[in-house]
Order: sequence, then structure tokens, then C-alpha cells
Amino acid sequence: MLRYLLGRIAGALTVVVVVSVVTFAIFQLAPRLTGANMAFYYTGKATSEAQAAAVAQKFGFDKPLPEQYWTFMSGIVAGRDLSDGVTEVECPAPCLGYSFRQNRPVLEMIGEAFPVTLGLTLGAAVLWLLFGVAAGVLSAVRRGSVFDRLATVVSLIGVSVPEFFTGMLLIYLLTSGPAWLRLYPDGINYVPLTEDPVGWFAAMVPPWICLALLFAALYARLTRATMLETMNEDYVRTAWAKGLPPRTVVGRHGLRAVLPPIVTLVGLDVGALLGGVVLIETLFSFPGLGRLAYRAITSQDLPVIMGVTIVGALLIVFANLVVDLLYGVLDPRVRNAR
Amino acid sequence: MTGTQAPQVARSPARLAWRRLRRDRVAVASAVVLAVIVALSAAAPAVCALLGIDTERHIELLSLDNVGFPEGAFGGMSADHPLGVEPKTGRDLLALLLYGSRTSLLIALGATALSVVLGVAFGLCAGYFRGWVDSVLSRTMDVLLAFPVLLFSIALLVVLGSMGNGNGLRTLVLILVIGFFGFPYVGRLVRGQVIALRQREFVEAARALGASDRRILGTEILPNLVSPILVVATLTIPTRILAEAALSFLGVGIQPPGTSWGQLLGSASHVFTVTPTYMLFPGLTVVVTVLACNLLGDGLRDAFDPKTN
Amino acid sequence: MRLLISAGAVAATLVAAAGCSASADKDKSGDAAGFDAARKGVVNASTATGGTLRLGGTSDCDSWDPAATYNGFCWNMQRLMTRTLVASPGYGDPARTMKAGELVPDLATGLGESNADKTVWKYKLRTGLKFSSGAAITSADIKYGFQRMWATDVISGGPAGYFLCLLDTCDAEGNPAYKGPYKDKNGGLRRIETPDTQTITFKLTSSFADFDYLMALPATAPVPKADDSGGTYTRKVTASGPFVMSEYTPGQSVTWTRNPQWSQDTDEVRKPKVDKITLTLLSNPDDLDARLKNGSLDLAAGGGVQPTFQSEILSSTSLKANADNPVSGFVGLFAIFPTAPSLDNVHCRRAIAYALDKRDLLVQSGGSFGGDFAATLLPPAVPGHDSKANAYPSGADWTGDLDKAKQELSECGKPDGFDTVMAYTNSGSDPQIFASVQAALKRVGIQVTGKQQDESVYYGSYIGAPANVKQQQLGIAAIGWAPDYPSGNGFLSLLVDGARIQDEGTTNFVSVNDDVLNGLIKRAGTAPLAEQAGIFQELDKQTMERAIYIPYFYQKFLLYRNPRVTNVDLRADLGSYDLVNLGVSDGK
Repeated sequence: MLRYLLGRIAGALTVVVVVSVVTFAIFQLAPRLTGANMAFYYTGKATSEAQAAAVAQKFGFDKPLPEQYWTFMSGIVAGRDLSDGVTEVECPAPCLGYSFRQNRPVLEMIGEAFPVTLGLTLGAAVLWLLFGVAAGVLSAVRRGSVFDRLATVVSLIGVSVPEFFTGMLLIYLLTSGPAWLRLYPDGINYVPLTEDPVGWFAAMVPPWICLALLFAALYARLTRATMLETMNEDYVRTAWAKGLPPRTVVGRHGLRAVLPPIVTLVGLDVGALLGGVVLIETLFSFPGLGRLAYRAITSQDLPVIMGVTIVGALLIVFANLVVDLLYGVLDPRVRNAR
Repeated sequence: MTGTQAPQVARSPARLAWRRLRRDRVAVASAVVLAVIVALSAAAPAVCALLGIDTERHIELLSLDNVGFPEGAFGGMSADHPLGVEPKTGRDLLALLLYGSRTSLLIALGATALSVVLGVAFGLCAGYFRGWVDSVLSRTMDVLLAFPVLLFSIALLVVLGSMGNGNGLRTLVLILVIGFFGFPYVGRLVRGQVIALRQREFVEAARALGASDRRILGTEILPNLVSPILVVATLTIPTRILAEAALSFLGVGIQPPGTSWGQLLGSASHVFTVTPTYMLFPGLTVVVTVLACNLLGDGLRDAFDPKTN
Repeated sequence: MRLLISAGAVAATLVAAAGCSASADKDKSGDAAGFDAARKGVVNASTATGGTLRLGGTSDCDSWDPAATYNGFCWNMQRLMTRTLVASPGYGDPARTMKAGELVPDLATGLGESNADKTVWKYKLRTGLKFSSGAAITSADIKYGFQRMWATDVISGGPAGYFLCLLDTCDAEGNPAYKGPYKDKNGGLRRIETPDTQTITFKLTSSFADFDYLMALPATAPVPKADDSGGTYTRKVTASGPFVMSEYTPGQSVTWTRNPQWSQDTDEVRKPKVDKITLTLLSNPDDLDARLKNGSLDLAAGGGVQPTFQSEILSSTSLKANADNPVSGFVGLFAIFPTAPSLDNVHCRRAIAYALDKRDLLVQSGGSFGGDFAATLLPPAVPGHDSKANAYPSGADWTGDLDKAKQELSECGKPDGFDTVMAYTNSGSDPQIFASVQAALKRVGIQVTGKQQDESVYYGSYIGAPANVKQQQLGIAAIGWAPDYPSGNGFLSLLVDGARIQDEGTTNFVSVNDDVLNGLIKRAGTAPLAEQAGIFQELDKQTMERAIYIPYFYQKFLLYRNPRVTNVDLRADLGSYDLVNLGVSDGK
């Protein structure tokens, strides 16, 4: 188990390093290849030539690349002083950059946005796991029934509808649609959980549905396939033959077999989920990480784009690590192999 | 019965699959739908001419008193403009959809082709050579799979998009970005298939006869990968369509006056509570196309590998 | 002269605009709430005090330091906490009949007294003025506020350009000798004299007839030296007005509470009612609209509502009764560069003027509630505006006069049209404006290709650099233009003054150096205010005749007010509500 654990952690660290190199390449090298105004990219403001030179000096654009990479990485750990050519600011560790457009450290902005995104993703995950697995199990148990066919059709449509289209349809129906559906006449506006838990929940439900619909379909299909396979295994047939009640057979043997592939899929989907969050938060204008990134893109506030990208990558790596470890717990074959 | 014995022997797996596919009514229907969509978009100029519509501005159809929204119900639907017109420009929505399909499909197909080429190359090498080659290539693909793809795509498009304003360049960048981030899925699958194939007798035989690696890969293994590649390509196209739609929706993809499905949905996202039809038609087009691709992909998979069902 | 973000950027940015069509048609009946009621009189006049005014905005101010902001919305907010020698009047007083561009004394006891050639201006301060710190406001504090503007390495982004060479000797490159109070601790600006604590005299380097208007800019507010924190003054402004900033979270919220040191007896402009004012910054404009509609916010601090809410307001009688539609003062126009191939011929330039589809352009700019058709450069609010002039009529429906355009093209020797390049920014509706111009000019064979540029460098080094204009062969450029103060000098002269041609950051974008135009500008410099309107009207006419600038719309805002807000009136100079005098009816 220890070996497995160490292997996974080493893998995660590798990914982190690669992510940092790629981020560095995209944001520090590519703009220069395309001849962009680096001072503008980093401060989001028009600068005079003297200011631009000060910015280049402060950010070290003239240094050798490995040194720039080192500055970039060590800044994250140790903090650094930055300047937009007019004002000097101190960006305390851990420094993910400083937005001169908003006059705030990027980490502070991310810290504020994170709970929104966390609420969105966790809620959506609960919804889709619940509905996806339940639908999959039911379909498998009642294979060929009307429910099974209906579930298949719904899940096929589910994977084919872009989440932002579902979102627009929902917003339209709930805010401007027929009177009996107009549950949110004032619009769907985010309220912090700490301020108004009920309002928070009400606001979260529509985006949860959008995100969950996309994934629930996939999980239902996977659960169904795995269940069917398991039901044909000898030990399950034996269980049936012994006359055990269906609940025990399905619950003890079927679900246990379903869990590992589901967990694997969750790990793979964290990245896709983060993408979905960008779209959904932008559409619903919820002040989470996705919208933060989107706003930064439209205002070309590079430090923020960079910060969110790095944090996003770290979140994915972390989620994958958790999934890998869970997988090890769930499936003894994995931890004993190799 | 005995009379059919002889031809059956001559039947290749591909022909068997083709026969199975033709019997799958859902797959056939999906293929027809896709063929119609592709044909319509390929012949967009002719179709528009036939219907008497174009992508010119028709400002006279817009209300000066209502922020430039179309006059009349359902986004200005009329006999001349069957799906209504675009807010602010008065361009015909059907014509925009037809021309937009060209961009969206071009990007989806281009990106899929890139993913497949890269995926096959990586998968073949990793699966065939194993050892350190496999470790390096597989690790690379694993790392890419763990990337926040959308965020990186956005970042890349912002940085690269500043090179120029043209949609031609943007289309190319979209193909490269979407295609590149999509290849590990194909690569993993191909690698698995190759590992299975290289244990098979005919490969062993070829190797025993002293055939070069290149020859074994080219003439023994690759031909046997055609069907799984076809299946995975068909199933990849819809995710590429959705990726283009998402990026253009966020405003980092195709820009007006250029048009694509995602661009139309993105423009609609600011006004859809006033003119829902402007969002509905592009959205439904995406859903129908993606659904048809998924169904056809499922059909193909079942046809090539009947065991899976 | 300040530039607005871009043609038709309806949201977020306000403009320092001019005088007032808004108040010109003001009658004294007041109180009648309804659509556009605030343009006709004071809505919900009341003497009730107390409560909190809840404002919303979509972006934080570029700076809260009065000397470092150049944004109309922020200038309006400055009125809450800073005072200037003179100011635009408080419109909340129904007894006052507004005249275009009127000014009243604020910190001073009267408007400026000047000598005959308008080079020396003298002001006397009121007595009993105090900062929020408790210290008395003296002429030295006003002078110190001025001196900070010369420290351009610390304080930047404000309208310092007006003052640097007007109140100090500049070298050939336009750099003043004085370097600001942080570098030059002993000297100070010699051209500003403070013989006693109540008197301040400005000795200008050249005649400036509009000097009083400059003294109404928030950048001239007093700053006590003891409280000056340089570049971070934006976080803690010492107030001279009735409200003081008590909490500030950049990018998120600002709270003002009453300044106990401020006394109503010393202030004729402001009549504050509420105890507290909050500004909530929401990054999504539609979110802001939703909160205005459900009443959780009272007013938007800057700019009009978004298209979706606008459409909703216009289709609902009850919502419409709470909306106003003032002119913002911002003018959308095109520069036509005579340096481009073909466009050196005035007839080719006129062909463009005739061929433009102004109806299309107005649709792109928000429709008839987003603006009015423009035919002259000076907007309605600036003295000298001629409502009858239209040098290039675009037909009854404003979609363009194609016959005239073709006729001009033949006279230019290009009957089949020509190719040209148009520059525009990436913000607001600029891309749509470009698409409209491209489609309209195509009708007469003029093929336009676009060059998009980031807004932050657009005016300064792209279209503001004649060498670049020439090199890129730019023929047309979209420009958003708004006066800082209601005078032709602060609006039109900048566009055509031959003396303003410079390598970078010129406002004479088309590099015109014409004796007739220069002569008119020179005359306006020393002419009495009464004659100025006529001179600028002539300057407008002459400029239009040369077809170097073509206006297409005067911007309007659709503003929404919460019914509970009292004493609602419009500040005609900024096209927004006069926030400082507002009250709330329920006292909450």
C-alpha cells in the first residue's frame, strides 16, 4: 500500500511540475513570440515607455529563461515585490501574482471565489452520483423495461446537450417563461451561504441541475453496463440461487463492483467539471473561480488568468490523487499489484 | 442454408460489420441526419440562394425603439426569414446557422483528425515499443488528461488570438488547441489495442520472419486498428463540437461577423430572455448533431464489436 | 478633454459632459414622477432625512484620489466627499432655472475674477470651511492639491494635462519645470499665490477664458499636506464635502458616512439627506440590473442599464415610470484621415459622410433610447450647438443618401469607389460599429477593412500618432468624444487645433492645420463668454465642411431609479443623478 501511495504522490508531483512549466510557457513565452505588449499584459493598463521598462525590469523579462522560471516559481512560495511602473506593491507569500487592474493580490480573489465553486461542484456531484447511479442500477435490474429504455434515451440526450444551452433554457423558463414556471422572477442571483442558506440553496439548484445532467447521463450508462456484467458473474448467480433477497444481492455484490469504475470516472471528470463550471458561472454570473477567470480574460488581466489556471490544475491533481487513494482502498487488487 | 456457405467464408470482418450496421435502424437514421447536416452546410451558399436568404444586414427589420431587437414576434420570424433575424444586425438566422455549421464542422473534423493522428502515433509507439518509450509517452498522456483543458485552451487562445483579428487564423488556432488537448483519449485506446495485437500469432510470425518494426506497424498492426479508430473518431467528433461551442460561447473562439454555432449561442447569451428563438435554434442544431454523432458512434462500435452490448 | 471608453460603451463609464438639454426643458412643476420625470423637475421632493442610499456599480473607480481619476462616474462620486472652488449647481433646488453650462461658487465666495487678457484669476475662500480631519481648509491646501498633479510619477490618470503647462513653464517637449511636492519640498508652484489663508491667485502662462470650468474639475479639490499619502491616497481621502469614505474594499464596496466637520452653512451646492451611502460593486451588469429591479439597490452609480433590462423597462408601464433618459454628453464620431490614399480629396471624404447609415449606427449604439441622431460635432448641451445644421443629410430615415455619395465619388474621380482601412477598439460596441460602416460604405463601392486595437493604447499611440496613422494607411477611425466641461474649447478645439499636432497622443487626430480653423480657435481664446457660442458654431460648420470628422450619435442613458429615492434630479453636466442630494422616503 505504501508503495502504491508513494507512486501516486510522485505522479501527482510530476503533473504539478509539468503544469507549472506549461503555464510558464503559455504566459511568459508565448506573448513575446506573438509580439504582445508584456507590460500591458501584466498590469492591464496602458503604460508609458518608462513604466513598461520598469515593469519589464521588475518582472525580469530580460533575464535568462531558467532564471525567469525560477523567479516565477519561487514567487509562488516566497512572495515577491511587483510594480506596474507607478506603484510598488508587496505580494506576500504564497504569491500567485497581483492584479493591478483590481489592485488586489490574486490569491485573495481566488480565496473569495473558491467557496462558490466548491458549493457548485460538490452539490452537482452529489446530484449526479445519486441520480446517475440510481438510474443505472434500476435500468440494469429491470433490463429491457420501459424505465430502462427511457433512461437510455434520457442519458443519451443528456450527454449531447451542452451545459450552457441547458442553462439558458433553464434561466429563460425560470425567469421569463410561463407563469407557473417563473419561480425566479427576479433572476437567479448568488447569495453567500453564510448570509442566507435558503437563498443560497435556491440559487444553486438551477446550475446544479445543468452540471449534473451532463454527468449523470454518463454515470447511468456506466453503472448500467457494470451492473449487467456483474450480474452475470458466477458469485452473483450463486447468491441468487441461494435465495438471498434482491436488495442484498444488488446492494452487496452489484454496488461493490460498480464503485471502483465510478471512482475512476470521477477522477477523470474533475477536469471536465472545472470547464463546465467556467461556462455555468459565466452564464449564471456566480462569483466563482470560473467567472473570475472569464472576467480576467475579457479584461485581459493576465495575472488573474494565470493564477486561476494554476489553482485549477492543482485542484485537478489533488482530486485525482484523492481518487487514486480511494481506489486503492476500494479495490485491494490495486494496492497489492506491483 | 448450405448454399450460403461459400460466400460467408469470403466475408471480411468489415463487411460483416457493415451488414450489422445497416440493420441498426437508429444508427442508419443518425447517419442520414448527419449526412443531411453536412450536405446542407457544405452547400450553404446554394441552399441560401435557393431559399432566397443571405447573411446581409437588414437593419430595417430591427426596432429603433427597442435596443435593436427584431420587430415582430419570435425574433422577427417571417416567410422571408423562417427562423427570424439576429438582433442588432438583422442578418437571417437560418443563413447564419448554415454558414456557422461550416465553421463548427470544419473545426470539429479538423480537431478530430489532429487528435486521431497524434493519438495513433503516440498509442502505436507506446504500445509497440513498451519499455521507457511507453513510460514517457503514457505519462505524457496521463498528465495531459489531468489538465484543466478548458482553462488552458482559453489562455492559449487569448495569447495566440492577439496575433491577428482574422477568423481564418482563429479557426486554425481552435483546431490546433482542441485537437491537441483531445489526443490522449485516442492515444490511450490505441495503446491498449496495440498491446493486445502484438501478442497475436500473425505479429509474432512477421517478427520471426525478420520484418522490420516499421513494416510490422504499418502492414500488420495498423490495418487491424482501423475499426476501433473509426469508432473512437466518431465518438470524438461530438466532444470537439462541444469544445468549439464552449470556447466560442465564451468569446475566445470565432468572432462576429464570422459565425459558428458557439458564437451564435454566445451572442444569444446576452439577450435570450428577450429573444429566446435566437438561442433556441443554434442550441437545437448542436444537440441534434451531437446526438446523431453519439448514436452513430454507438452503432459503429456495436457493429464492429458485437460483444460489447 | 476626456475620451470615453468607446463609441457606444453604454455600461460602466460615464462622461464628463456639458451644459444641458436636460435642464433646458426643465419646468418647475416638479414632483410628477413618470418616465423622464427627473429631466423635467425634481422627482419625490422631500425634506425627510436619514437612512442609507444604496448605490450599485459595475467597476471600481480608476482612483478615489480626486487628482487621479478621469472617469465621469467617479467625478460624480467625488461630489460626495470633495469640494472645489466653483461647481456645477445643485439642481435639487426647483427655484433655480438652469442655464447651459452654468457654474456657482462652492469653496469660493464667487466665480473667478480675471484681468482683461484672462491670464490672472483670483478667488476668495469662504470662512468656516473644515476638512473631515477637523483642520481648517485654507488656500494653501488648495495650492497643495494642485501641486500634487505635477508629481506625475506618483499621481497619474487625472486631467493634469490642462494644468501642467498652464501654470508652469514647460520646455520644448512639454515637460514642466516643477516636479511636484514629493521631489521639490521647498519650492512649490510660483504661479499659484496664496497671499493669505483665504485668497488664491493663479497666474497663467497664456490666456484661458474657460478657467472657471477647470476650477470645477474634482482634480482641483483641496488636499491637506498632513494627510497626503501619495499614490495610496485613493484608499483614504480626506473629505471636504458632506460625506467621508469610512470603509473601502477595492473592487467590492465603498461606504460613506456623514462628515461631522462639514457644515450646511458653508455649502450652497449640496443639501445631503441620508446618513450613509453604500456603493456595491458587482462585476456583472445584468446582476446590477436585477438588483435595481427588485429594489435591493437604489440607483446605478454610473451608466445606463443593459439591453435586456432596457427592453423590459420600455415594455412595462410601471417600470418605465421609474426611468429617465438623459443625454450623456458623449458624441460618437468618425475621424476621416486626409493622409490616406483617395481621402486627400474632400469629395471622397464627403462620399463617406453621405453613405453612412446612421440608423444602423444608432441601432448598434442602443437605439433611440441609447442616443439621438447627430449632425453636428458639438452636442446639444454645449453652447454653440446648432440643432438645424446638417451638412450631409442622410435621407429622411437616416439610412444614408447614396445618390449624393455616388455624385461626390464621381467628383472625386473614383466613381466605382475605393479601398480604405478603418481603426476601432475592442471594447463596447466598437466591433459592431465597424461592421455597420463596412456594410454601409459597401453600398457605394467603398471597401473597408478593419484594424482592431486594444482600447488602452488606441487613442494615445495608435490613432493619436500621425506617423502610425500614415503607416497603417488608416482612412477612418471610430472615436468616442466627450467634453470635460461644457464649452466648445473643451470639446471641438482639441480636435482641430493645428497647435496640438504632436508625435504621440495628439487629439488633432486628422493632423489638420488650417488657417481658418486656427483663427477661430485663437479668437475664442480671449473672446467674452457671450460671443463664444457663435464662434464655436462657426468652427463646427467649418470643420464639417472639410469632412474630417463625421458625428453619428449623441449618447443617452436609460437610468432606473428606485421609487423610494427622494429629491431625484439629473446632473446635466454628467448625464447622471446628482447623488449628493438624494434622500430615501422610508428612512431605512
